[in-house]
Parts: sequence; structure tokens; C-alpha cells
Amino acid sequence: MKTDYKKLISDFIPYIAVVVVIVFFAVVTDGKLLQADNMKNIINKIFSVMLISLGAMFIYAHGAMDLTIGGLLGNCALVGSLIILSTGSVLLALVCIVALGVAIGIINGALAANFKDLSFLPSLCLMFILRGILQYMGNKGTIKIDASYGSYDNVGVKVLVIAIALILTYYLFDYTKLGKYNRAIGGNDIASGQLGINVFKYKVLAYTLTGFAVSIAAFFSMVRSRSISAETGSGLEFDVMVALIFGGMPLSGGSRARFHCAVLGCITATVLSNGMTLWGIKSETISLIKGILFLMLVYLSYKKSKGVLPR
Amino acid sequence: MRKTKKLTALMLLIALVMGVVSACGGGSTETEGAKADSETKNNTAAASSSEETTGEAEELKIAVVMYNWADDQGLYLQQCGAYLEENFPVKFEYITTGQDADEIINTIDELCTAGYDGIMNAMTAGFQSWAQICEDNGVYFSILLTTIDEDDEEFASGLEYFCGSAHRSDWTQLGRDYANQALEAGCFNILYAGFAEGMLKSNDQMIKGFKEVMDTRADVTYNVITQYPDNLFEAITTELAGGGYDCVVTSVSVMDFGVGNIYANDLVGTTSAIGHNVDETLDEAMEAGIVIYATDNLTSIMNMNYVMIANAVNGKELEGTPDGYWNIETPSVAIDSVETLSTYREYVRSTDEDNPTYAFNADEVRKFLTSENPDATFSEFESFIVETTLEKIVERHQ
Repeated sequence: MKTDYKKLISDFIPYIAVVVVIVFFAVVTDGKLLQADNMKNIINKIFSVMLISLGAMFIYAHGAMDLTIGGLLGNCALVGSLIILSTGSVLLALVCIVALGVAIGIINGALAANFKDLSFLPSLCLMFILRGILQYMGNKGTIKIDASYGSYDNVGVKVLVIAIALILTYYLFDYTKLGKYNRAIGGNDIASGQLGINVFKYKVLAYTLTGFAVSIAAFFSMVRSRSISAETGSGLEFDVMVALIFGGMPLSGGSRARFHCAVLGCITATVLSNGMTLWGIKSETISLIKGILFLMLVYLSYKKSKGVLPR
Repeated sequence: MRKTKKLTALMLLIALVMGVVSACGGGSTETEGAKADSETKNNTAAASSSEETTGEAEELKIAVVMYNWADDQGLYLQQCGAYLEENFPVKFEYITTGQDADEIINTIDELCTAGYDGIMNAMTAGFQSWAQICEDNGVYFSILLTTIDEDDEEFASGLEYFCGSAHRSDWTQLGRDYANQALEAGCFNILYAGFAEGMLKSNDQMIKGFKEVMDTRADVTYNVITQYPDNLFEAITTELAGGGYDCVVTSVSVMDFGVGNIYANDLVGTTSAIGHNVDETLDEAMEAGIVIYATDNLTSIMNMNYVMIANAVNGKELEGTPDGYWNIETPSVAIDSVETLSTYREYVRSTDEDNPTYAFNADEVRKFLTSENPDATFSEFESFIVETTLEKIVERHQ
């Protein structure tokens, strides 16, 4: 069998990109990129995006996207903060945050699954609602929790959480129906339905898992910043999108959606941004470079659907 | 099509590297081996050098963090920064960040690792977290332009690397001044347009001060509208269309919304404007009689913060610097006529890019740098700043 070298190169570009980015910036920053202090920065920066990306890749795998991520994170953090302020209980706050994240995930998923090809619409509407709630609460002033809760913001714990998330989602994505069926739905949802896959159920599960991931990220965001405002979580859904696209996730989903998309994409995007800041590149240039790369990757990853002729 | 995509994929690999290399030209500062040494990061004098020549002071590297550098405020602060760079061994990097606390904290984290000697931060969300990061990394920081809450002030009091704050904190009086100016001009149906409540402390205080004065006058009507920045211009348009207002008062930095609406709705001659902005459009608006009162509080901000951080890095603060949190009240320069504006342009902020002027010039900055004047005191510095009125500036520079 002839080896398709071009396909090999294409498949390995995310791996090549992450190595190139790390090596390049390690060199130009005189090794500062790989110093312990900076590795801690990278872990803190990558934590929320990677955790949420590991959940959201199930949504992207079936060809949809979730625009509620930032608003949901903000609302989860808000609820957590209010509970801590009124009860002082971190455990209760965590439980409530997770409950809210999962609940919104289920609602979001049910709406998206019903809207089928226009699944982004309910996501967009929910995003406005969640942002509106946050802005309404933010109008009353920034909500703060005591500095002592900052002790829960621990890099070691974050590394452990990410490690567990990686193992769990790898298993779910590659070895269970949740991952396989979401990819199948992304390939062709009509054919998947006809094959007996409960499309509605697996789409809802994908959003639920994302909601759960967002809630965990919200908890750590809350204890790190210890202040919640109308801007909390702003733009996070786009950070997740950029990370997944950088990792080679096709916007159309399907079989080309791979586990490594979330992992490599997050690492590449974070190291790229971190490296450019360390190197002294101006903020606007960083945005420009990220924008150009993102555009190129979207072009490469877009695959026109062949569709199924209606009967 | 597939062939094109594969080719582009290969080119992407090259573009990823080449794009970064070509785009960064001139944007980075040179680093020396000593910068990568984590031990020297906490040694303020040695860690700050990016140029080190015999007999010359080491160049400070200061990051200035704000949400937007493209507006008038951002451009003016960069202009002040460029002036300082010409006269002192300092290099500023202007960093843009969002308003999300997490993003601000991550940005500060990266800047501390990148080896900056000081950080001036206008973004105070998550203050305690990022302030602690600066403290842990031995990076001096100051608060630029804005206020922090009382509990944050208390937190800052316990930090060794906090260099102080220099901004106007009493915006309520400015709100009262605006109201009084509108009434003195004979306006009796006044619109106040500001940001959504809770967005900015200065905005909330200005509205409060404005209402305090207005509520004492039963013969005058007023209306206060508040909106998020993206929607404020349209909100003013809608309100002006039906209101019959004779004056539009606007909150911090959005004078152009009021003036823009007056022009757009053909209200020149019937509606006047009061606000807080002194960009190039002010001259025409004032000559046309649209703007009757304008204020500016940016005149000394950048220079003051530079003094505070430079002295801290130098290891010698001004004598008598208070312990704990402190803020120097910066007054607003008021412009109430074409003649005043002309004086302002001559002595404070010229529109001539080739011949800029500064209220707090290099010689005056030198007086308060302990590296050049070890006997400078905090009370002298404070008096100097507090007296930054137009009359005093003219008196000093004539």
C-alpha cells in the first residue's frame, strides 16, 4: 500500500506546530519560556481553556459550537461567590456551581439538538441571557470574596485536575459511544439517526459534559481572581474555539475530530501567546498573528458536507 | 482544491515561524543573560538593565496595562511615555488586556516573568490577586488612572512593592462642577449621559454629584441615562430626538458622544456640551460654541507614575512617603472658554505633534527623582501635583 506522505504531514501538523512553537520561543526568550515561574504561568493560563476544550470537543465533534461558555463561567463563579459570602462554605459553593453548570448544559444541549442545523442560535440566545444576568449583577458592583479563599488556587491541584480530565475525556472520546457517536453525528447526522443513534441524547450529553467542565473551571477562576464582575469569562468561548482550531479540530466535526485537537491546540495557542509576550511583541501584533493563523487553520479544516439527498 | 489545502498546510508551518519573526521587528527589547537569571529578578537594580554602559543609568523597563490604547486617552498617555523615554532611561511597553479579572491576572503574571521592572496598571479587577503576584515576584507596581475599593486599599497597605496611586478619587465634585457650569450657562433642560451603574466608580460618583446639585433646583429639569459604552451613543441620539435638551453632560471620556450627537442631529446653536475630554475635536467644538466646559486629568498621570516606580526601583523613595496605601489627588484642568483653551494648548497639551507641551515637564520630573535629587520629599511632590491647575502650570512655565 502506498504511503500517503501528504496526508501524514497534514495529520501531524498540530504535533509539529506545538514542537516548533515551544522550541522557537524557548530559544528567543533565552529559556525563560521553560523556567519554573513561567511554566506556572502557562498552567494557570491554560487551565480553564484546556479543561473546557476537553468538554467542548464533543460538541465540535458533532459539528456545532457552544457560545455560552464565557457567560456560563461568569454565572457559575457568581453563584459560587454569593454562596461563599452568605454561608462561608466552599464545598456548598462547588456543589452549586457544578449543579448550575450541568443544568445549563442540559438546557443548552436540548435546545441545540432541537434546532439541528441552526444549533448555534439557541446557544447565542442563551449567551445573551447569561451575559445579561451577569451585567445586571455587575451593575451592583464587583462581588468579592476574601483573600483567604485564594489558597484553593493551587497549581498542583490544577495539574491533577487536568490530568484526570485528560484521561477521562480520552477514554470517553475514543472508547465510548459518547465520543464515537458525536463524531458520527458530525459526519452525517441524518445517516447516524438512521443507523439507530439517538442523536438528541448524545448531543445533550456533549453539552452537559461541557457545562460540567465549565463549572469546574469557574470554581478555580473564582478562587484565583476572587472578584466577579460583568466581564468575568468574557470572550472565553472564542478562546476555546481558537484553541480547538489550532489543534486541527474541523469546524464541521466528524471523523477528523481527534482527541489531540483539544490538547495540542490549547498548548499551541497558550505557548504562542505567552511566548510572544515574553519576547516583547506588542499586544496588537499578537492579536494580528493569532488572527492570521486562525483564518488559515479555519480554511484548512473546513470540509464541505457531501450531504444526503432528501427522499 | 485538496492539493491547494495540502500545500497551504505545508506553507502554514513556514508561516507560523516566519510570521512571528517578520512581525516582531523592533517590538522586542534586547535581553541579556542576566535577565534569564531568576535570582536577579528580585534584585531591582541589576534585573532592570537592558542597556548597560559605563557612567549611564540603567534603563527601566515598565509595562503599562490598559484596556484600550487606540482612543484619545491611550494615545495621549503613549505620547507622554515617548516624552519620558526621550529624557530618561526608561522604556515603556503598552499592554492591552480585557476587563476580565482572570485575563488581567494572567497578563500580570506573564509581565512579571518577562522581567519588567515595574507595572503601571489601569485595570483593577482581581486587584488583590495580581497585586500579590507582583509582590511575590518583586515587581514594583502602581495604580494608574482609577480607584480601588477600600478593602483593596487595605490589602495594598501591606505590600512592599506597591508604589502608590495617583489619580483623582473625588469625582463627585466634578459632577457637581458640571451641573453648576450648565446652570450658570442658563441651561434648564439638561441631559446627563453616563456609563452603566457599577461599571466605573468615577462615573457613578459623577452622576451622584450631578444629581445632588440638580435636585436643589426645582426650576430646572434633567434626565440621567446610563448605558454600556457600545450602546451609549445611540441612547443619546434617541434621547435628544425627543427631549428638547439645551445641554448634554457626558461622563468620563465620552465627550465625543455628546458633541457627535449635536452635530449629527443638527443641534448646533440649540444644545451645548459639557464633558471630560480634550482631544483635537475640542477646538472646533469650542469655537462653534458647542462645548462650554471641558476638563482633563491626564496631564500628570504618566509622569507621576514614572517618578513613583523609578524611585522605588532606585531603592530610595521620596522622604516622608507614607506607609501603606496612599493616593495623590490629581486635579482636573478646567477649560471654559476659547481663550482658556488656547492657553491650555500652549502650556499643557498642544495639538502640534512636532511641538508637544507637557504640564509636568522633564526638568520638573527630575526634581522628584531621588536618583537626581536625593533630598526630594513626598510633601513637595504631593503639593506640586495637587497644584496642577492651569494657572499654576502657566506660572511655572512662563
